[in-house]
Amino acid sequence: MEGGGRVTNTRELLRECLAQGIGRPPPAEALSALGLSESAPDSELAHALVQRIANDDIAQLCIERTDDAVTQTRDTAPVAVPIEAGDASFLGRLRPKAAGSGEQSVGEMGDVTTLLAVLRAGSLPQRRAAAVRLGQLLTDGMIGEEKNAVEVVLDQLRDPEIALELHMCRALISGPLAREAERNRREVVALAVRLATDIERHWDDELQEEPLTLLSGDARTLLFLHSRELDDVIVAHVSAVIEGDAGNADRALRRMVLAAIRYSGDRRFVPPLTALLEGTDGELVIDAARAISRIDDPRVWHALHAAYERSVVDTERLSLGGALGRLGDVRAADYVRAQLRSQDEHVLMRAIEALRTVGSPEDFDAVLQLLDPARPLIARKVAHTLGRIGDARALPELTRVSREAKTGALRAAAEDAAEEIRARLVLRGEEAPSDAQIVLIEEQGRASLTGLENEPFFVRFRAIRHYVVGRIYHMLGATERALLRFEAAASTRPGWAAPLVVAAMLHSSRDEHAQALALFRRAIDAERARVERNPLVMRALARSFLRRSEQVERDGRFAIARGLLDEVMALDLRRAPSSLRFEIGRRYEALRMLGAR
Amino acid sequence: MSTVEFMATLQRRLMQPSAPRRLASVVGEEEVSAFLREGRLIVSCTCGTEACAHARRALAWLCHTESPASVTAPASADEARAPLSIFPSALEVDLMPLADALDALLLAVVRAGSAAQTSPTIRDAVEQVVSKAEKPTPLGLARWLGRLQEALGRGDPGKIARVLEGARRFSDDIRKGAAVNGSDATQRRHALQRMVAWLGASVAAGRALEPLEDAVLIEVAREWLPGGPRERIERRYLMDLARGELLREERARAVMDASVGPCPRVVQVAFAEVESFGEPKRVRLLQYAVSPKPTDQHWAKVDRFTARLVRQLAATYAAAMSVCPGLAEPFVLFAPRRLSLERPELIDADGERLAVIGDAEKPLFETLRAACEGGRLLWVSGRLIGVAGALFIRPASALVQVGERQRLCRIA
Repeated sequence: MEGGGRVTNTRELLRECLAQGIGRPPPAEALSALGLSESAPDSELAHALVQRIANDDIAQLCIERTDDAVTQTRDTAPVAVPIEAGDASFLGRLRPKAAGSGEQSVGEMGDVTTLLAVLRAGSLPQRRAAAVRLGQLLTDGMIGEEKNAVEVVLDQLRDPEIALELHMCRALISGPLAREAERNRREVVALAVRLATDIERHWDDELQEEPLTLLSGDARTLLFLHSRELDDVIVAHVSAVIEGDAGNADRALRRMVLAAIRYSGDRRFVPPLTALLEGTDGELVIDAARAISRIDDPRVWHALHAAYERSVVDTERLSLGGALGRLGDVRAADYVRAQLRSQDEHVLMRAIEALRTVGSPEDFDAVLQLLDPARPLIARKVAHTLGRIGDARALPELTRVSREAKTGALRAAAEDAAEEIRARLVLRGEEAPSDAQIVLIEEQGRASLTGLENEPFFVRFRAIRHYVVGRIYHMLGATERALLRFEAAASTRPGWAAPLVVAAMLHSSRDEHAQALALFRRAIDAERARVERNPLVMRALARSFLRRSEQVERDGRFAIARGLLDEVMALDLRRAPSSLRFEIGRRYEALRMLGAR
Repeated sequence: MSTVEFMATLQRRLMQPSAPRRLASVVGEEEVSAFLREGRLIVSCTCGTEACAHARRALAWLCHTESPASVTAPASADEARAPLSIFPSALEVDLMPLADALDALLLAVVRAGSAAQTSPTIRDAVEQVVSKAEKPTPLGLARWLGRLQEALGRGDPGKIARVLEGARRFSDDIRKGAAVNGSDATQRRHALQRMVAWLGASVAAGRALEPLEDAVLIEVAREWLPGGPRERIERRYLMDLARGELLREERARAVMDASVGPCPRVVQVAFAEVESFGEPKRVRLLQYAVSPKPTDQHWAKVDRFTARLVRQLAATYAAAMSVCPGLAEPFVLFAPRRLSLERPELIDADGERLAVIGDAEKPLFETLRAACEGGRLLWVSGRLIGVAGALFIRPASALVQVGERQRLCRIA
C-alpha cells in the first residue's frame, strides 16, 4: 500500500515537473526518479522526463477507471459561454421549448394571436417553434376567426427560413393554400426522385455532368427548402460537393450549392459546413456561416464561435458575428457597430445585415442615418434591419420611405419592416402608433380607380370586348389571334393592365420570355399596384425575368443579365414564391460580384 | 502479334511461380493494370473503355519486356523475407536536420511546461520542423504537429508526454540510422513502422506497401483533423468487408489526391495500395468504382466486425500506443448496449463504461444523443483517446436504426 502510494507520488511529481517546465531546476527527487544527476543537460532531462511519463501513462491507461477522468477532462477543456442579449421583455424571455417548470415557451402556447405575432417577429428558433405549434393546433382542429387569421398570415408570409414548417401548416388548411402546398409537395417529390436517380447514374459513370447543375436555380432552392425530408443519398452527395470530395473542386459550383442549402436547416449538413468554416476561403466561410447558423444543432454555436475568434477579415468576421447573433450570442455587437463607419460598401452592407441579429434599440440612431432612398440597395437592408431591431421610433421614417420610395422593392421592405415592428410591439406589450401609411395607400388606390372610371364608356366597352374575344380565342387554342386581341384591348385603353398581363403570361407559359418581359413592363407602367398584388402574376413575372437573365448570361451579356435582375428586384416581390426570390437575389449577387472584379 | 496473342503470352508469364501478382503501366495519362483472377488474365485501364488503345500499347510493351519482374517493384517471396534495410545512407543525411528540429521542439515544450500551452519559442520550433521536412509536409508529420497543438491546448501532461515520446523515438531512429539495421527483427520492424507513419510508405522503398485487389470497402466515417500550422487533414475510414479491417484514406485540404465520393459509400476496389503499418493502415485507392448507397446487407456485414466490450478497446489502444505513441490513433467500431442517460458514456454488455470526449469546438455527446432521438443506436465509430489516465472515444459517426431503415449519421 505504502509502495503504491510512493509510485503515485513519483508519477505526480514528474507530471508536475512537465506541467511547470524545466526552465527552473526540477526537484532532486524528480532527478533521482529519472536516474539523472543535477548536472544532466536539459536535452537529456527532457527526453527522460517525456519517456517516463509517457510509459507510465500508457501502462496506467488500461486499468484506470474513467469516473475521475471525465470530471477532470471537463474541468480542463476550454469552456466557452455564449454572450446572450439582455432582452428582458416577453419576447426576449420566450423559449422555443420549455426548459424548466414555469417558463413560457412557444411549444406550449395556446393563444393563436400571440403565436402569429411570434411567427412574424420572433427570432428564428421562436418562429420555427411557432410554426410547429400552429401545425399542432391546426391538426387538433382550429375553427372560426382564429382559423381565418391563421389563413391570412399563412397566405401573406413568405419567410424562407421557416419555409418547410409553413408548408406543413398550409397543407393542413383546406382550400387554395392546401392545394398550393400539395402542388409544391408534388414538385419537390418529382425533383427529389429525379436528383436521386441522377446521383446514382453519376456515380455509376452513366451521367458525366454534375447532377446538381442539371436543376434550375429555383428548383434547387425549392428542393433544399425541403431538405430535411430528402433521402440520405442526396444529402451525402451535396455534402461531398461542398467538401470538394465529389470530383469537382469548382468553387462556383460549391458556392451555388451553399446558396441553395442556405435555408435548409438540415443538421446533416453540419459536418461539411463546419469543415468550410475551418478553411481559409473567405467567401466560402461567409456562405457556410449563413447556412449553418440556421440549423438547430448543438455543434453549430461552437463551430461559429471558433471561426469568429480565428477570423481577421472584416466581411468574414461580420458575417460570422451576425451568424452567432442568430443563435442569440451578441459578442460581436461592438465590433459590428464600429464597422458601420466603414467607407467600404461591402463592409457596410455586411455590418447592416449583422445588426439584424446582434443589434438593439440603442443602434436605432446609427442605422436610421443610413436610410437614404437615393441608395435603394442599402436603404432596403437598413429597412430590414430596423424591422428586426423593432424600435417604434422607426415607424414614422419607414412610413415616409414607403410613401416616397420610387422603387417597389424599397417600399415593400419598408412596409414589411413596419409590420414586423408592430408585431414586436404587440409581443412586448407596447402600443403601436396610428396606421398612417395604410390610409395613405388606400387614398392612392382610390385616386387611381377614379382616374379609370373617368374614361368614356364606349372606350372601356371596346377594350373589354377585345379582351373577352381574346380570352375566347385563347380558350379555343387560337393563341396568335388571342394575342392580337389583347394588344388591341391594351391600345384602346392604355391605363388597363389586365390584357397586357394575360398576354405576358401567355408568352411566359410558352417560354417566350423576351416577349413576356416587354408586356410585363407595360403592365407595371399601367397599374403597378395591381400587378404587384397578384401572386400568380408575380410568379410568372419573376420567372420570366429570371429565365431571360439566364439566357442572356449564357450568351455572355453579363451586364444585361444583371440589369434585368436589378429591374425585377426593384419590384415588390413579396408575393412571388420564396424559391424564385431567393434565386433572383443569389444570381444578382453573383453577377454583382463578377462586375466588381 | 495480335492483342489476343499478347494476352496469352502475358498470362503464361504471370502464371510462373516467381512472377509478380500485378503489372502496371502508365500510358499517356492512363494507368493500365494486368493481373490474374482465378487463372484468367484481367486487363483494366483507368480510361474505363474496354480493349482500349492504352491497353493494347501496354500489353505490347509488357510482352516485349525481357522480365516482367524487372518492371515492377514487388519482390519475390524470398526477397521479402530478407532483413529490412530501412535507412539508405542518402536518406539518413537528409533526415538529420528534421531529427534536430524535432529534438529542439521537444526541448522547447518541456522547458516552457505543458501549463504554458504555447510560447514564441515553441512556435519558432514548430516552424523549424516544418521547414526541415520535405514539401509538401508529409501527412504523418502534419498530423503529429496537429496532435501536439491539441495536447498543448488540453494541458494534460500525460497526453503531451505521449505525443513528444513519439517524436523522441522517431528522432532516435534517425540518429541510430544504419545501426537500426543491425538490431533485432522486432526493433527493425518497429523503426520501419514509425518511419512509415511519419513520412509515408515512399521512404521504405516499396517494402511497406501491400496490394489490395477486388475488395469491397464501406466508408463508415469521415472527419477533418488539425494538421500543421493553418492546415487541416481530411480522413476517411473504410472497412474491408472481407477481412473486417479498418483502413484510412487521407488528404490535405489543398490537395485533391484522394478518391472521390460521399460518406457513406460503397467502394468496389479493383486495385489499391495499403501501407503495411499504421493504426489504422493508410490506403490509396487507385482503381475503384463508387456507389453512394450502402444497403442493409452491407451494414449487416459491417456489424459483424464491431467491438462489443470496452475491455477489447483498451487492449487495442495499449497495443497501438506501445509502438508509435505520437501517431497511432486507433479507430474502432463499438456497439454499446446503451447510451448513459446521466453522463457522456457508452455502456457495454458487462456494464463497463466508455466515456465520450468532445472538444471546445464540438460537443459530440450531445450530437450523438440528438442523432439517436427516435431511433436505436447500433454502433458508434470513433478514435480512441487517452486523457488523464483514462480511455475515451471521440465519435465520428453512428449507425442508427430508424424504423425499417439504417442511417449513418456523421457526428464529427
